[in-house]
Amino acid sequence: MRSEEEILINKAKNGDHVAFRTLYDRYVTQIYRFVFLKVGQKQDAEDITQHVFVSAWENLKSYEYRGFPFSSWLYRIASNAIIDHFRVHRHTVDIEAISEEYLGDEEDQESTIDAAIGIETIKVKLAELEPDQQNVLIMKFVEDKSNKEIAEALQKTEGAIRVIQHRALKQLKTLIDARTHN
Amino acid sequence: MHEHIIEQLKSLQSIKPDNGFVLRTRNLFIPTSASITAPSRTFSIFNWQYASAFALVLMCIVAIPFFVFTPEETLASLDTEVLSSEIHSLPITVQLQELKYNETAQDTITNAVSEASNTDTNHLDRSLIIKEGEEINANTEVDTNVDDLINQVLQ
Repeated sequence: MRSEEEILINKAKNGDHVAFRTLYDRYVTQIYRFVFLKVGQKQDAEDITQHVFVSAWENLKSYEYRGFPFSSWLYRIASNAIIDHFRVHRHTVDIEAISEEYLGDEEDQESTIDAAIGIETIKVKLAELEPDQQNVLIMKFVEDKSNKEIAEALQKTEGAIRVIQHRALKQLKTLIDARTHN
Repeated sequence: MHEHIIEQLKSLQSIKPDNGFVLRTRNLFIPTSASITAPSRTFSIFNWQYASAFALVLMCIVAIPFFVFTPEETLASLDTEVLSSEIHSLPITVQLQELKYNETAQDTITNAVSEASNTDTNHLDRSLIIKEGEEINANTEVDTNVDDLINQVLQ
């Protein structure tokens, strides 16, 4: 029996815009978040996220459903787009602008400002990790993906994902502790 | 051990894109949108077919009138054998013409040089000519008998 997502994907592959928009609505936030945490700039994150979905739409014919969520494929496109982005723009994360960019469209601005300060700290330290370590931590703990799905998206084994996750958490803790002591 | 860090990582879930951006991008995937078309790979293949057909038709349009309306002499001039023979004879003709020119030029140069170097050209000296003109006695009597004899012969 085919899953709902598989049906949507097949419809989208046949040019069904409505089906693709449903997939877009389902995944745009997490893909944007993943990209934003990697590039650190709102405008860049929007451009890359848009590129990811346009690219997915244009190359949908080549996509083969293998039981993994559609997002695995989107994460893979996003990872490649981010690599391309950093090949061209080798800028660092704009720490000063982070707080504003985290606010999004939230109505309760005061609580989000407090949250933004904590977010800023973890994000800056996250950005200091290796790209693979960032990917695993974001997908595992921010997006609540399973190791199996992360392995599919990053084209690695589940064992490799567990190792990367362990090292990433350890490294992140060291970086945060160092900041606290300073 | 890492609970606090994991908790902080989960706080990143509050990051969301602007609604304006989400709607703007979503509108790219509307059928009426001109910017994005359905993911049809066959479209590019049809493009090639149309391009090839167009090129063929264009070639016929140009080639047929050329062969129909071009004079026979012009077409004959495109004969490769004729062109080949012309090309082979061309250097010989050029060489012959060049030899003829060199010969004429050689004579002209020789004459010019010899005239320039000749010291016996006093007759070309203007002062000498004027002097000779003064020496001619225009008032000397002429024997009119000679003229009469010539007139008789002519009659």
